[in-house]
Amino acid sequence: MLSMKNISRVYRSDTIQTHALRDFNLQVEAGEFVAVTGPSGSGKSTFLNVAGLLDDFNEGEYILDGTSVNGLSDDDLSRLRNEKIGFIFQNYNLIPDYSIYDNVDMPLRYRGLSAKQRRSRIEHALELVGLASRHAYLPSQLSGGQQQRVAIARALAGEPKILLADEPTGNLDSLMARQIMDLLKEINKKGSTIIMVTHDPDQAREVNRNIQIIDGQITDYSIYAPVSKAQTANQETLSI
Amino acid sequence: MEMFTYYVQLCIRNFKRTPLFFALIMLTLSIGIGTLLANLSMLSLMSQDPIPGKSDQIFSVNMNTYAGANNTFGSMHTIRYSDAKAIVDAGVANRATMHYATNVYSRRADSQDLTRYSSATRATTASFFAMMGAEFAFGEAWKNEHSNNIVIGHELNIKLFGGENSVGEQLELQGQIYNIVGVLKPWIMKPLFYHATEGRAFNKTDDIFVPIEVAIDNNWAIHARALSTDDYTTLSETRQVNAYYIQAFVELVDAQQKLAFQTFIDGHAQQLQEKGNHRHEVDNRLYDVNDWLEYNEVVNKDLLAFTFATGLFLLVCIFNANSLMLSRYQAGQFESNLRRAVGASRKQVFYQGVIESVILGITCALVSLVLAISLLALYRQLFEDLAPVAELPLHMVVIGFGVALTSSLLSTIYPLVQGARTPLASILK
Repeated sequence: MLSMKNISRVYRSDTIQTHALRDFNLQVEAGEFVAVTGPSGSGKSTFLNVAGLLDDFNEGEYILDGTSVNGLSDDDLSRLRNEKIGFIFQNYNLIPDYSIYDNVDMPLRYRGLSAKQRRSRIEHALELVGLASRHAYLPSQLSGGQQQRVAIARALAGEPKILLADEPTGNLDSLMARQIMDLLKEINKKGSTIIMVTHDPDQAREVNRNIQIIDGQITDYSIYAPVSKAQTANQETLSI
Repeated sequence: MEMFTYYVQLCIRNFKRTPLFFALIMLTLSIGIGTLLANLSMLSLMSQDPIPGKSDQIFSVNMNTYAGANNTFGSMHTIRYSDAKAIVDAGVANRATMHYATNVYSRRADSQDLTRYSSATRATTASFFAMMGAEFAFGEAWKNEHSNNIVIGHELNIKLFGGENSVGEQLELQGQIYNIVGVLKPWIMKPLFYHATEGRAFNKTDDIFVPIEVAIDNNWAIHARALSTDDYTTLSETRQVNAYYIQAFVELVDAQQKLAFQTFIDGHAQQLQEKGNHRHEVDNRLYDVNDWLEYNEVVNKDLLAFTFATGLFLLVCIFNANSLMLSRYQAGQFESNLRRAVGASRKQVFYQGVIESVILGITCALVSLVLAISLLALYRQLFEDLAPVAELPLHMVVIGFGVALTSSLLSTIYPLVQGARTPLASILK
């Protein structure tokens, strides 16, 4: 699903050169739920940005679902992001004056789907996260956990190949964090590949695999639960 | 098309989200555009070609046949009857006419009503109409230059005859009866090049046209600049004396004819000088229509300077709108980046901004037009000289839309480009 070989990401200023990622190698299979941990400044976010095609890399090769992203134009990268990747942000990143429905609709608008297709996907995604009845609400009328569910629905509505979650429970209390974690695991069981950056070691232990990044390199792999065949099979037919 | 509709929806949402902000930008641009548009409209009317297609073939004849001792005027556009008559009769030019401005009171000869209307009148020759491009709605020009046959303009025909065909009807002018042989179609000539002097370049075309010989015979007063080195009591005496009040225009179709005509008037002036009729160097000049208008400074220099200033003012408005838009796009960066993160390309985000800018531009154009029309109405009230040109011609409406769209795009392109360059990665945090 995701293959990174010898990826380097260097940030340069006039006097300083920082290696955010160096010789970074990672293979993520379809249906895996991978947790990414590491101290602050270790390169977790850079990895997620590169994986999500939000940031360039200087060297190496990155293949996403069979497509090499090296040298792709902005249009091609945008299309890949739209069709293959779903983002879940720590701060939810919902547009405050858009209804829940319109927030989930946003990525679909750039997909060229008909209004009927979009409506079907939005309703399905909101049902999956348990917010179908609140589609007309504004984000401010929902709790933090519910807002994160909307963000997850927005990510799922595009039927992506992979979900990238950046500390999705970082702003939530423990009860809501538990609910979101359960929801992500449920989505993963249905076949979605998920890569989640987290600071919580307990959450990291709940998933198939945990990778630890220090100084821009993977220093530790911990496999807790191999991907089941059922998950891999579901990946092929992941449609909500 | 679906994306276009979506962009329009987003634009409306953005306007609703910050209505005061957009109202401020719209007003900033509209005031600049409206002011410029009003001034440009007047300049446009002042500087337009009054007779396109023929303006380089019609010439004002200026001669230096002044009989006085000191000629500080040089070549003059007002010439003597005898010189003008020689030009008209010579047949060197394709067409030639002479005229002077007068004013009479007119009423229908058969009217019970004794009301008389003050009517701007042109004493001229029958060749005047074809040369100046005046078209007839009814009838034609007079055939006899000594007859009491006249031509009237469209407005007077409406005033006196309700716009009906009045050929064959009679007017009482200065106590005498004149037969109408022709009625002109609506005739707007701006600037009025055949009388561009004495601040009359934006007067209306005349109400009545009468054979010049008849006007002179009947002593119809000269309502224009006149000079004379001799005394005279009636206008008919001016056929023999040195009275300078007639303007002559000729139509010369090519350079060869122009040269022939120049040679003719130079020879004419030379002969007169040799006979002692005047004592100055031969200095006869031909100005084509646009040169004649320029020579007479028909375009108001103050207005030109003011328009330039309003152009600079518009630039300041654009810079202001630009900085406002820049701050708006910075404030809206989150949404743009989010859209790109979930799959919108730079182009799509850029197009969305352009659509917003175009809608803003159209709104600005509409408000600018209202402002420009209001300003022109104010000019008409405040400045009598500018009143005849304080109008908004149709082509300026189109230009106004163009300026508004350009201004709006100029205000938003830089902020849009800046927005599209922002690294996307920051959105994750």
